[in-house]
Amino acid sequence: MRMSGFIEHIFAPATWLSGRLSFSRKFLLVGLLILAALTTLSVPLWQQSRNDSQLANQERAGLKVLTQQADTLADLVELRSQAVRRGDSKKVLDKNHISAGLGMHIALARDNGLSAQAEQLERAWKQILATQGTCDAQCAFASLTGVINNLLGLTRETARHYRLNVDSQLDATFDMLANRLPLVLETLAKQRDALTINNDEMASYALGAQVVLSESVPAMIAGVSQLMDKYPEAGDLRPRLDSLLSGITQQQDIADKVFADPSGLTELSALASANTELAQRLLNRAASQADHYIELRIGRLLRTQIIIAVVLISTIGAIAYLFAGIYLSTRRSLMTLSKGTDAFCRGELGTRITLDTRDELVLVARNFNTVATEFSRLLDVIREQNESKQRELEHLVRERTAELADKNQQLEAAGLRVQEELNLARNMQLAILPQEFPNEAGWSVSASMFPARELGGDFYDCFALSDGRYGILVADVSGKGVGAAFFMAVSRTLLLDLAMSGDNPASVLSRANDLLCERNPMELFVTACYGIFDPEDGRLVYASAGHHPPLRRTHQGNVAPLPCSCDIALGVIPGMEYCDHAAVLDEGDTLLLYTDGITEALSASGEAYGDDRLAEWLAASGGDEAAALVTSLVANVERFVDGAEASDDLTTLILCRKTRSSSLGHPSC
Amino acid sequence: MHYRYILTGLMLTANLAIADEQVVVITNRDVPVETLDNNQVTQIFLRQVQSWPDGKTIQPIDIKEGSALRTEFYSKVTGRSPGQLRAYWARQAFTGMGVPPRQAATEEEAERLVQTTPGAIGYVGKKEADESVKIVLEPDKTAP
Repeated sequence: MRMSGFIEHIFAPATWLSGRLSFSRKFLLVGLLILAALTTLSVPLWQQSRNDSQLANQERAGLKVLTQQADTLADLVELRSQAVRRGDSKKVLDKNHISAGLGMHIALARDNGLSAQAEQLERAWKQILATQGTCDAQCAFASLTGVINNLLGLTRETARHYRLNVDSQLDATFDMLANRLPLVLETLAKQRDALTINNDEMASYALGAQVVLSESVPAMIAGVSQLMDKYPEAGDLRPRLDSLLSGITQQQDIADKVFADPSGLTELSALASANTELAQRLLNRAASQADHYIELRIGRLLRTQIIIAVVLISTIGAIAYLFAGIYLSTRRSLMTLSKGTDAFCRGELGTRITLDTRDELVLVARNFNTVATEFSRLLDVIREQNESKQRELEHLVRERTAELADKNQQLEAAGLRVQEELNLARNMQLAILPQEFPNEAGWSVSASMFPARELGGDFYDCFALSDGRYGILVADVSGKGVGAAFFMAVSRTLLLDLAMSGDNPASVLSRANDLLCERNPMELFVTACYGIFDPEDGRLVYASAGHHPPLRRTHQGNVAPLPCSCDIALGVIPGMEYCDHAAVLDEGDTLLLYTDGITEALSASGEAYGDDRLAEWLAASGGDEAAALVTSLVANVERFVDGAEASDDLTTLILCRKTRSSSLGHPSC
Repeated sequence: MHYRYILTGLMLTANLAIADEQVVVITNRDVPVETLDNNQVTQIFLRQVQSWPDGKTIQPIDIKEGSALRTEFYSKVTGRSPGQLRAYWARQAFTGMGVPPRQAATEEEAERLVQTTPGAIGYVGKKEADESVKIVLEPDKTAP
């Protein structure tokens, strides 16, 4: 555990970074790091190889310049020889050709920053051209030797410029090519020419120059050996060098003898001439072999660069290919897992994930499949349990439904019974109200009651008293329904019994109030307007117990309520005393008694029928036939209500005192 | 062969006659110097100094070897014998360090060349020196 914690602690930054990167960015990050590492390792190698190649190319260019300068040196040496011999030469030289060669070297030297050497060489050559034909052999010798010396100096500086002197592999060879061999060539030729001049002083200097040759021998051996070591194909240089060294040795032998025998100078001159040619050939061949070697080296360096580049590119390509493959494989596996999970979440519970890889994601897919299988199994169990419970529930529901249906049937039956009883009660309620009304010659009366429900609380009555007068009654029991209906029946019976005694309305109402107050357990009350009409003279005595005052329409069409005290309704306060009022209905007058079901009838828009509309109807409704007026009023209210549900019982009673002329024309009912 | 010996004898006689004449160093009239000393003339004729103070090239005019005036000139001015002079120029020629001055065949030619060559300097007998050249050194006068 401690080791595991230590490892987690060590890798915490990488883990943190990995947790915040997508797969593609993780692969990209690792790929970039590897690319940077490979580049960091490869670039120095490649740069080193490129630098080596550039140096080798530079050295080869320098060697080419050296070869050209050696050719010019050979021409100058030959020119000097001709000048000394005064044209006695097999080789025909063109000064313009030499001038062109020197001009090229001078221009190149200036380009390479060797202006001082270029100036000296140019000046020396111009001096030769200027003194052409005016010099003797020694003068020409001196002038051309000066040019050759400048050219040799330029050759040495050229070697330094092209860094031939610091080449780690061919430094000795380049020293031989740029310094020693040209110097040996020039010395040999100078010996030959000096001896040709046939001057004792010159001959002595020619002999003295032998030391230059001797000192150059080790350098030439080292240069050739080094080149042969590096480039075995240059083995043919060895016999050439040996020949030259042998010639130099022979020259030294002759020079040693010349002091004793001056005739040896001629032999020395011939030998120097032969050695000059050997040196020339060795120089040309060594330069050629060195060029071949550098060319091979450049080829090797180029191949090295190509190999480095190919290895780097191939490695990067292989890593990129591998990373891309890993990324695509992982992405495909993750997409398969994601799609499978999405499908499972959408309800495709049969979804199973199959990966054709062998990595850890297969384990994830296997775990998903295990979970999905287990989930499906549990779901089947739950479904089976649900189905079982549903079946039980459905069975229970069916049972309960059957019970409810049975109860409903019972309720419907009970309702029907209640409805029938209510209908019966309604019929009985209506039956206890008079349906036939007097329609005498001098007067007529009619009434109607429309309960808001099956049973109403309103009632009316019209009955003949024993003294020939008629009692008219309209009452309204508080409340509705069965209770009000019963109270209505009790109140009607009570009022009818009391009224039949012939007492005046106030007394009847007072006595009825006392009796209703005594037997009113439900604390209902009833408003009533009771009047006694005398058909003989049209006198009307009436009293009101909290009811609307009667409306009278005179035969002129004027409508006004009859004076009436607003007494308390019946059944509220026992011992109440009511007041009688008297009025006389003239012929043609109409008396209207009504309950608030008329004036409070509501239209569909909620507007009440109202006292004014009732008064207007009454004013506009002349006539002697009370029944027609009742029918007209009921129709008028029905039109106003326009099908709206009745809010209260609607009850009206109309009494008409006919005019004499009309009463003669109509029979009494 | 007899004529050669006779000619040689005449030349030696002439040289001896000239040798009695004073040598003077002359220059072209355009040369920007009026006098020179022995050391300066020596450097000029050994080609150790090759330009005048104005930058123009010095053109030394020598007389061919064998002339008595030449021997006298080099003896009085440079202090060198003909053999030493040959050795000097042989070394200069072999090493390519320099070429000897242009040589006139006679004293008259030398004077003419000095007259006509810009920057030229030469030596002649004092009697030969006229107004066309400028005498810059008379060794006999300066000699101790």
